[in-house]
Amino acid sequence: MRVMVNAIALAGLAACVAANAQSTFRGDAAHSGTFGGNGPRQFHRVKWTFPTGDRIVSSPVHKDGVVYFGGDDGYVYAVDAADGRQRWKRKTDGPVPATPAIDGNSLYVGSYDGKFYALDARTGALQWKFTTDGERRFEAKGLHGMLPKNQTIPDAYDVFLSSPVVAAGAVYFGSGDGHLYALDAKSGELRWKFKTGDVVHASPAYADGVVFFGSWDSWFYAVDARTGQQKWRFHGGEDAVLHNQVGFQSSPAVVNGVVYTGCRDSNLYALDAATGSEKWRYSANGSWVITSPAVALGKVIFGTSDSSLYIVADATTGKVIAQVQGSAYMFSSPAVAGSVVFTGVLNGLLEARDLDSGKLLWEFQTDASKRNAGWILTADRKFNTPLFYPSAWRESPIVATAQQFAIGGIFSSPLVVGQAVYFGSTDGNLYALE
Amino acid sequence: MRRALIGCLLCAPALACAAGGPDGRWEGSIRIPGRELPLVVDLAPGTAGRWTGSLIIAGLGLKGAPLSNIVVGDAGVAFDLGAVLQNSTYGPATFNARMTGDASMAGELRQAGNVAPFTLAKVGRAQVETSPASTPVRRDFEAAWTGQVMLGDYPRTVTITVVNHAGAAATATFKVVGKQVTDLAVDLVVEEGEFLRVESSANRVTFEGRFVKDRDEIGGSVALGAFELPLVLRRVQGSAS
Repeated sequence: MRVMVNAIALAGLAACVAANAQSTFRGDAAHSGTFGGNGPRQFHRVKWTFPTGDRIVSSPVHKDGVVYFGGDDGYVYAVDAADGRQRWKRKTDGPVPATPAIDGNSLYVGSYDGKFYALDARTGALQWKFTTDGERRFEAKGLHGMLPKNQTIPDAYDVFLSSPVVAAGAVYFGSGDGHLYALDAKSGELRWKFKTGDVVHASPAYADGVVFFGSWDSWFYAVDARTGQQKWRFHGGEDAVLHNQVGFQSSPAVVNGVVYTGCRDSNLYALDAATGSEKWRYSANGSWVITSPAVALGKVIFGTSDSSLYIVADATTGKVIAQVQGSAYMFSSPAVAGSVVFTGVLNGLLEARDLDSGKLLWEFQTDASKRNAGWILTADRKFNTPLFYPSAWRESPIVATAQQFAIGGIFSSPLVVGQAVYFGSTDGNLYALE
Repeated sequence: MRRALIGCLLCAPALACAAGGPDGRWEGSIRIPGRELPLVVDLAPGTAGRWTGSLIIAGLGLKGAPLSNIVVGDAGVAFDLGAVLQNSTYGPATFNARMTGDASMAGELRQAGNVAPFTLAKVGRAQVETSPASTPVRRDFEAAWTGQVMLGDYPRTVTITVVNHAGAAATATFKVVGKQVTDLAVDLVVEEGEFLRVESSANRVTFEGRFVKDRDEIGGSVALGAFELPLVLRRVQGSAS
């Protein structure tokens, strides 16, 4: 009986994916994190790797046999999904840790150079570009306990740029200048911009004429997509001393009238999409929820950072269905394909887990992670903090995070196309596994 | 040492193009003390016996950097990176490698007076990247254009003159007049839709702007490395279109 219910539910999910699927971050405008087909329940081989000049934080998207992504080497790439050969690359003047969105023949993405680009998806040629008021990272005095405490310090863990969503002829994205922008998708003309109190690097989701997004000012906003007028806002946690438990870095998913979003205040919130009222919350007890939740078959799937928990919760009640202790921080957002969930981990593991139980089906470790230069990882692949983070003074924390990020970690959220899984790594490679 | 190796390579009787030769994608690492750098080299025979190649080093932001002065012989391969990683005292970064098997080579990188060993293994077919090339431009762009930028409270007059050439790409001059007159060496002129891009990679200066037909101007900016200055170029009176 349960088999039949699952089969019906899976069929419904497939239809939903087919109707809403886009070549965009998290697979669709509502950011459900679900992909069509069944991802591989077993690992067979590395299909190909595509090397670039710097780490890849961006997540790949797919259209018509081509995989698109941004590189921190400043390029936007188009790569043949079948053989991993480069179709084109386009230089921007800054790292591109955002995920492109493709609509028609246009590819949209922002860069750390403070510009937002529309490129021809077939050739990489520039269609238009829009200049924001400039990018920057979240910053605060004595951030995370770094010293001296009166020094303003940029947040090394603010690694992503906002990924755009395209809907109703407009493209929406957040910026380090504190705004959410709405541009005409064809011309790049500004339709409106919405001011928040701090950096917006979370990616907006779109559903039913409303844009949903969080800001580092620790407010979560619902804004009318046509006018840019605020419909409601919800306040996350504050942390006036360390500025550690504050701000929305996670990007929301909007499914069946409910908004699901993580927060650095260590909660995963479920909010009513119409009113912003809180339906339930999951507390990770001080561990950030950076991952953008996936929502499938009545379940919410997400991970935590330093407590390294993989969690499956009931989407309606928030009751935990499965909770599995992982090995390291999760910033990469889970991708659901059939009965398998794929997640990247900052220690360089790509994990495939069973959707229902969270049980590990298989894992792949990047070469840089295997090499473990500088013993950043322990023998059981946890972060070896005493060795690489010896002090909170001077440049030590900055050097520590640079080392932590250089061991082939996976910030990038996996893309699943048929039986292949694509993701980027801080070792500079885009991987295709099957 | 490098000169001796290149001399040896030049004396080699034939290029090694067959299986087991340098043609292909090579992956390995450079063992700089305390910092191992991953290295990908693509090498392929080009026209008239000349070889082409490009290089990727993750962590240095290098993707598809063109190889210069490629010398291939039975004994191995030598090339440099031109202006990329160049040091004013020691010149370009140079790579010299000997084949150590059908699909392996080992050699030395010299950069800024330092030497580091590297090893490479052949992993597949070459994927040599070509550098961006100049294009012909529309007739509207073919003219002298001028405008002013403000830099450090001083106005600088910028004049860019774009010329088409029959059957070939356009060229341009890029003159900046401030306290002194500077002629920037232009190595890239590209028309892309409504956009014109004029680049001096040696000076790390780029102009990029969008043509506004009804105002007969190109509105854009001059990028000096990471910094941008707005610049609107207007057609110089009498300059042909």
